[in-house]
Amino acid sequence: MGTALRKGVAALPALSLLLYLFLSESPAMLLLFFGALVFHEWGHLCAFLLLGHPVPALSLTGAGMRLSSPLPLLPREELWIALAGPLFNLLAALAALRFGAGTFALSFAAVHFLFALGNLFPFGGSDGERLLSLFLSRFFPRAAAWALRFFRALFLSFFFFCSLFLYYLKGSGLCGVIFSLFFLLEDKKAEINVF
Amino acid sequence: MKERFDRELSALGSGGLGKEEGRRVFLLCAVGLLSFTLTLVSFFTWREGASEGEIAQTASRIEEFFSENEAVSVFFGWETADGDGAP
Repeated sequence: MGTALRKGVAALPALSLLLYLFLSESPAMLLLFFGALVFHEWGHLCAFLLLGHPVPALSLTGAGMRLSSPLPLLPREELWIALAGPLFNLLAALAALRFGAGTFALSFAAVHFLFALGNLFPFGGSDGERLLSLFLSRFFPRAAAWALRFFRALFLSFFFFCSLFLYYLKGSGLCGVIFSLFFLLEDKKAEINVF
Repeated sequence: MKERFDRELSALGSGGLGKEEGRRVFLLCAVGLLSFTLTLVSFFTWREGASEGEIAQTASRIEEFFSENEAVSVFFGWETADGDGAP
């Protein structure tokens, strides 16, 4: 019961964000958001399979989804896999800006750009956290664990206060406040395996 | 590397790609197609100004940044260096 409750709580940030989006966004914007999400995961999947790994397992975390290989990853492989998702989103955003026209293209670019940027923040098991962990393990192995916790707390606090400030000034940014608040309380090890 | 080569060669020899390889190709195509479909449906259901949620507000702020920043506009070919054109 305790484990199930922990796992349920772990998925709360992503689930609360989803619920908030369903209530506040138009259907077209929601579809664009999920299209960007799937495209992001497609980037990771392409990297996994191009590196010769078997089909990865999918699990739900507080940050959303996570693909993980049953085989151990080399640091170089983990680097490319972590980079692939944000890179795919960034390339999609740039392509839309260069070749697209109208507000749909700009919104498409904005959503993909937000995905790329958001996944590079180092908390919640994100790609940014994996990249930071790799960097710290490579160059500061003794202090890696401590430094990762420090940077995680720093970015999370920064994100929380920026969202709060934005909400106070402009009335938007509430989902950033909720998201970061949950991450300040989450149990990182609690994940729900989908398959 | 040699083991993987032998495994894939034997899979080809048995007359097919092998179960694992088929799964990989199927998953790649399925996920890519899903992303494309979601974006396409979004495009066809898009209404100007219909969304006022946080993503839409953030997207419009990014749109303003890209539109008002001359260097970015020139880089993406929306304007010439003389200042003509619009995204």
